[in-house]
Amino acid sequence: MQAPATAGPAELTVSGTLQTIVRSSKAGSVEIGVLTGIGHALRVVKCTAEPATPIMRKGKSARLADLQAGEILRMRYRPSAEGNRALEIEVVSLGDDR
Amino acid sequence: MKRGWVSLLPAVILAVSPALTGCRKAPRPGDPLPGLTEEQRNLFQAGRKVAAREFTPETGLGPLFNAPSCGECHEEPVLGGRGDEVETHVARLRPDGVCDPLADKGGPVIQQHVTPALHQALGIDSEPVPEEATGRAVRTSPDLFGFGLLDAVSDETILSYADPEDRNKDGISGRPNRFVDGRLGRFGRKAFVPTLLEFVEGAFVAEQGITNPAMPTEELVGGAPIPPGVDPVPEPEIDAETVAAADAFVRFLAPPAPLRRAREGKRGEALFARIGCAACHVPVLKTGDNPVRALRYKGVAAYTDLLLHDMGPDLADICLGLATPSEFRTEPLMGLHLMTVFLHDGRAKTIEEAILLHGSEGTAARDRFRALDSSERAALDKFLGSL
Repeated sequence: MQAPATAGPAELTVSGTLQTIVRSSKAGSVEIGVLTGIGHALRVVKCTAEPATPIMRKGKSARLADLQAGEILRMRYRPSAEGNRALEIEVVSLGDDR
Repeated sequence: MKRGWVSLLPAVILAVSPALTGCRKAPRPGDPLPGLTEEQRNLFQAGRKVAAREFTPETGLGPLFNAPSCGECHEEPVLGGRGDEVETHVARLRPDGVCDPLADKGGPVIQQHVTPALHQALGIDSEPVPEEATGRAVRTSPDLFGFGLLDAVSDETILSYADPEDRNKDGISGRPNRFVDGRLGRFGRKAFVPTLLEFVEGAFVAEQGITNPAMPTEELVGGAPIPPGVDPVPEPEIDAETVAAADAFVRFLAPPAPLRRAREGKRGEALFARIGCAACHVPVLKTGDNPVRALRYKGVAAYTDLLLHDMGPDLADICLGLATPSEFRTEPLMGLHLMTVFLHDGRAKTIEEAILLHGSEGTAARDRFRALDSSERAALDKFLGSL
């Protein structure tokens, strides 16, 4: 689990729940908000994802449009002064007990 | 000299007699678990000091906080016990069914106090409640005794009690909650937090405004960052060693020893099982393998399954993770004899009142309780009051 970036590492990984999906003015890209944190100290990491951002679900490639709020993601992203940019997204499945 | 030895003798005999007889003295509230190594006991004592330490803005407190020390809210009858403070949690249950704990608006914990510098900057005395909140919850401060043993129960053990589809048709359908990353939750009234260490790390930030290596960013003030110049201490405000000590203090607190039960209490224990309370308040959970010997393969008489159960609309407050507003984790009943108010928000002033407020999945057991005669009710109360 990684809290929001405070310094400037090249890449970070976050695991959390996809909270928000907002269409960006840039063609096809979306801003996603991933809920993360420690205990009851929760934070939202906002990130821009492009149509070309690799997304995997159950070992298969998925599309940006398939992402749904409430899903659990593991996301690699690059922080920058212009904002965070998603590099790779994996949709994490839960067991049948959910 | 000789006379001195003689006068000391009774004290020496008393001190060693439990060892001689093989009896182990029951731990008192605030004692460490029996069987800890010297190193673990030392860490426990170091953690006790961290828990008692009163932080100030100059040592990391705030700018938003609920209390300046762990001990402020966990103090009765000793450090690590319950407190009379209540706090506010909020969340928004969205129309699409997703629970939003309003983290980007400062939730889910709404801090009741601010440092003088934050007051001066923003003119507020507490964190504002986000207007987007669809639910608002009151939370009492529970005692922390025996939490290390709860942490040591395996996920598989907890999941073995789950019956989300109520396949056995007993009207009880416990289900696990999940943290934001999908791991099984178990701590907190909504069973949201997966591990004790994370609960401690998160509490430093959410309750005291003290950042640490696991969470190096401060809380937002109603969604806005802390104004510049208000927080004088660089992040993280405490180091990993301090967190580890606090974690050890909570982890190694012994569970409260139940009071001695006479015949009436034993009758109450049988009634507890007979009317169905034990279906959710599972009397004993077994811990799994653990690096700490004192936590490994132990039975903990916690009277919980650590799962979510629907308690009905009258108790409903906020969603959190997968928990709906009316779902709560089965409250552990260990240490009930130390409590003065009951349920997650302290609204019940007696054990009987708390039982009668059970709804939905608790309805059948509650109705069977209602049908008991006065002597049976008294016996059940006696049993519960001994836990």
